[in-house]
Amino acid sequence: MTSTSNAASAGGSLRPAVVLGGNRIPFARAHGAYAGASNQDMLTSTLEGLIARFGLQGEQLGEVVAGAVMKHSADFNLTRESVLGTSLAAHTPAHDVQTACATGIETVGGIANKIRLGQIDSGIGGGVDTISDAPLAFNNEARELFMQLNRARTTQDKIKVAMKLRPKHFAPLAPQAGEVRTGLSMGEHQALTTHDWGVTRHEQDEIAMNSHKNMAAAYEEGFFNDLMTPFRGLDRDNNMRPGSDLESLGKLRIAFGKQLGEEATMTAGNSTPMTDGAAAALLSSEDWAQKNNLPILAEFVDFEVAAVDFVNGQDGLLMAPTYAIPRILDRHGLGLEDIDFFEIHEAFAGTVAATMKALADEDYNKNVLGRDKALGQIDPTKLNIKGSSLAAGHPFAATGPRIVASLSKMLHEKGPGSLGLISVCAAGGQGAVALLRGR
Amino acid sequence: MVTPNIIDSDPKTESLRIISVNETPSLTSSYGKVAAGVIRRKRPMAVSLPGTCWETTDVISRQLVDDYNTLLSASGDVGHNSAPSLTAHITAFGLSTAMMAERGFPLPLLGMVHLQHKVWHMSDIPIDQPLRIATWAQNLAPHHAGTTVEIWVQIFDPTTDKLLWQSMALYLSQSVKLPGAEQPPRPAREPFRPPAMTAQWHLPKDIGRRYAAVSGDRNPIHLSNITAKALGMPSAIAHGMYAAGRMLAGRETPAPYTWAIEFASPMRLPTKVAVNYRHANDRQLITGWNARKEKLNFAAEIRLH
Repeated sequence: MTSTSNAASAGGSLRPAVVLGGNRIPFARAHGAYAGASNQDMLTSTLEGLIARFGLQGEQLGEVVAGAVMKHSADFNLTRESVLGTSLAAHTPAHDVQTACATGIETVGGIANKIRLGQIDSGIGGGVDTISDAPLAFNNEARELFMQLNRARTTQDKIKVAMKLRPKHFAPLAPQAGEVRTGLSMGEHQALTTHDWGVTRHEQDEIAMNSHKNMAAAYEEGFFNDLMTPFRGLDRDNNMRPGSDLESLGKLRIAFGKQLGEEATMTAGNSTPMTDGAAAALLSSEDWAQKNNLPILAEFVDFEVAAVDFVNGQDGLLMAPTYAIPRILDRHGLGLEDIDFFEIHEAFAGTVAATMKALADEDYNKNVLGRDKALGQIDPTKLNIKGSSLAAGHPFAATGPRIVASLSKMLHEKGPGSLGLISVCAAGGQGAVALLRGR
Repeated sequence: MVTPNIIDSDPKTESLRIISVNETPSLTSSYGKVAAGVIRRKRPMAVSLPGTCWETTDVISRQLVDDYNTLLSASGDVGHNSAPSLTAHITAFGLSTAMMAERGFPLPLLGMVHLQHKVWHMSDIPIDQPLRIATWAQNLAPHHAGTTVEIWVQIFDPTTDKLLWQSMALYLSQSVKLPGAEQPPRPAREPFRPPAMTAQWHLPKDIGRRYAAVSGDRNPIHLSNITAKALGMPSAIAHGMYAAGRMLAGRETPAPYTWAIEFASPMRLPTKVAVNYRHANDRQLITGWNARKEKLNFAAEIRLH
């Protein structure tokens, strides 16, 4: 239970929040292996795997926070319902978070903040998403008619309303792939940014190839053995293509930015596919870890969110992390050269390349970010060395906890004091970045 | 950078004869009246403006605001507790159209081309409150392709007589030439070079019917290919004012602000309109074009004051 005497929220000092480990189910390409699984199925299984790994059966944790980007309205208490389905004590509270692809960083960061403040001693931050079981809704006109039908008092009134129903009212409204305010899909937005930064097809295909190769190597060395629980017949991400090479990637057709003609560079190979899956990370105070005899992998030092003005064409949709990264590094007096591992979420290979180019660009740093000089170059040998979303896939809210767990393990292996930086871009022109330190 | 080229004009209401109308005439009846006139070959008698100002009292209804926001909410809600700029236009449009459908009006309503529109949104406009609406035509002028006329609308708070909103719509009639007036040459225009796309509007084939259902503007050229072809258009085209509403969606701040749009070529339905938004000092510039044909559809601006 919470030690109340010295909690920062009661006037004491802040304490570190540490990552003890994580768990995920393999990610599956949409409409495939997990087609029959709901968000709750996947999140519950992921949590249960984590509980089993850390012997938390019957334990009451401080809080479990998770979320899904694509969520049925009936799943308003998705995380609490999932917790009730696990072997955690029923007294473990839970809440949901939803901030597009940054959801998973926000859930882990929220848990870390509460631990640092002394409000809780332990918690799980997680995320889950399914494309295969995405919510479909009645369209606006149909919903209005059904509401009228519901409000109608007399049979005559009900018939009057029912007569207005037409076949078109039964065409469901699928979740929008596009940005509400621009009408462009995320891929189309990234195609513009990719083009603006002059990112070549070769650069993107190379990032994609490395993602598959790095992740395949990580599987081979058993890196994911204590980070994953098999689910529905999968024991590794089924999007991963270990044999990916520049030749096969180079043959793929253009998927986004076709209006750019010859200058279009984005394909299904260097863009992340729609995926189903879930991930979670276990965090606690140092005391709690000690009491429960659990090894500490890393400290969750800090996180930062940012947003850009893509609506007015001022910024690229997925460039918010370029604002957040300098801010979090400045806050801790760090530079890019101090970071041992960069985990830049591969929404698209172009996002990773454009982010790196922007951070190294003198003009962009001065005129857009308002800095004295460029933040610097990111060493590509420190980037996504265990693979990232292009290989694993990207079940939106699950990506943050996936990276937090993997990076914590990498930092622990690297040694105490090593530093890792996570960058996750999100719909709506937002982004979240996090700083972790190895223990 | 594409900027709208809006004529510089001020409202001139001196010496106009006031015609009070009890109720805003419906657009359908005006179009019907004109259509009947076409069949009976009634030509306008004079090539001068009637010198009248039509007035009525009306409200911008909550229903209209809700319907309008529903139509455009997918592209960013307005979110203020006052009337969106376009709902003022929609509410007054029936009166302006009735005035233009009158026999004494010098330019035939059907076939009129909407060239540009400017709105001064001076104060927030209350919803469901009586408003005094006045409309008149001024400045009949020669144009290289025919004759233009400015249709003005002013909306007042009837208790204080405060001017809340005014608009100027510039229309072109290609079938009338002003007698005695010299046709100006076609102005040289820089060739259109598409800017970077920052947004894309998908206009489905029924968007004309949907805007018509909200605005009451059932001009046949917007409703279907068949009705559009009957009036000599190659296919149905989007309402220009739908494009105006779309570019304003999510951008209407509390008053005062002004906005203007110049229509360069019609948006044939269905279509994808490539759009560029950019800030230029004190204003936002919005450009819409057909990416495939590299043809400008409209250039617009919003100025916050």
